Amino acid sequence: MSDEMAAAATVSLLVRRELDDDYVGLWVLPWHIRRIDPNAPDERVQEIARAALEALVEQDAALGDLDEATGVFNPWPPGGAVDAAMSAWRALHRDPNIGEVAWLALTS
Amino acid sequence: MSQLLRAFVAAVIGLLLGMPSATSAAVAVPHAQMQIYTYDNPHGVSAPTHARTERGPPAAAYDYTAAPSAGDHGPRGASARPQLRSAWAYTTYDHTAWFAQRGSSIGTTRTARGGRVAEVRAVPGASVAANAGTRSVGDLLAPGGSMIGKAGTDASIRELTGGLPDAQAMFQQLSQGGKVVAQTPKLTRVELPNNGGFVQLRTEMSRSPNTAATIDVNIPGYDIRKLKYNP
Repeated sequence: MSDEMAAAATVSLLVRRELDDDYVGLWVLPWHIRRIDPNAPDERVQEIARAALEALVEQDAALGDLDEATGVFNPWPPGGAVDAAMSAWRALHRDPNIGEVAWLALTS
Repeated sequence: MSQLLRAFVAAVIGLLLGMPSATSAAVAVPHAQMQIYTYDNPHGVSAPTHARTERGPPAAAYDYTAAPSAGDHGPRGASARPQLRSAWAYTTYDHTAWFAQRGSSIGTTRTARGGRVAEVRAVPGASVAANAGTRSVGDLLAPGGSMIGKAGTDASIRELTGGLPDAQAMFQQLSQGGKVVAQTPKLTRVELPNNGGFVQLRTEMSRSPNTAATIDVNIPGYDIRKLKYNP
C-alpha cells in the first residue's frame, strides 16, 4: 500500500470515528494529513484529502454547510459535493481553517 | 489519484468500521493480509509544544526553625548520648535563584558564592503571560506538560468534565488578545494575534447530546484541536 493510500485510509478512519458524535469541519483533514506527512506539498495534501472525502461520502457521510446561527446542518447534493469542496479549497490557496468551505456529518 | 485508490480507501474504511461499502464487493483488495496502521497518536509525529512549567521561588523568604532534639538523629526515645547536641542545619531560603539548599551551619545565611545557582530558562511568551496574570496556550492545553483531559476518539480530541461556564472560561483564556471574526448565538470564532491560529466555541452544535460545549482549536504547533466539555 502506498503512503498516499495509507494516509487517506487513516484520515478517513479518524474522521469517520469523530463523526459518530460531532460534525467535522473540512479543516480537520489537512490538519491530520500534515501531521502524518509534515513535508507534503499542498497538491499532495489535497489529493489525500479528496480520496478520504470520497471514501467518507461513499459510506454514510455528507458534505454540507453548518448554519452558524441555527446550528442546523444542510447537506449538499451528493453528486459533485467533493468536487465543489475541493474547488473551494483550491481557491483559498491555503488549507481551510475552522468554519471554512464545508462540514461533514453523518447522513444516518 | 486513481479511481481504484479511492475505491480501495472506501473499502478499507468499510472493512474496519464493519459496514458495507458500495464498491467493496467489486474491488479486489491487492493484499488480503495487509495490515492497516491507523494513525491514532498525532502527538508523536509533530513538532514539540515546548510546554514548560516554572517551579519558581517560594512566595516569601522561608526560615526553617524546627527545634533540635537531643543527641541523636531520631527524635523519639531516650538519647544514648544526651550530652551531645545534633548538628541541625538551619537554612535561610533568602535567594530567589536557589532551588535547593545545601547543609550549612546553624544560623548561616548562604551567599551566592557558596550556593548553587540554578540556570532558569523559560519561553519568553510564557513568562510574559505569567507575569500578566494569564496563562500561556501551552499551560492551558498541556498543564505540567501533559495534555489536558482524556483522549476522545483520537488523542487530538480532549474530553473534560465541565459545563458551559468551564468551556467559556477556557475559551476566554485561549482567545486572549484575539479578534472575533464570527459570532452567533451558537458559536464564537476568534482569530489569534500574530498568525496564532483560530479558536472557536460551539454550543449545541454537536451530535453528542452529552456535550455541553466544544472548543475547536487550530493553533500551529499544538496537537490538540478539540476540547469537549461533558457535564
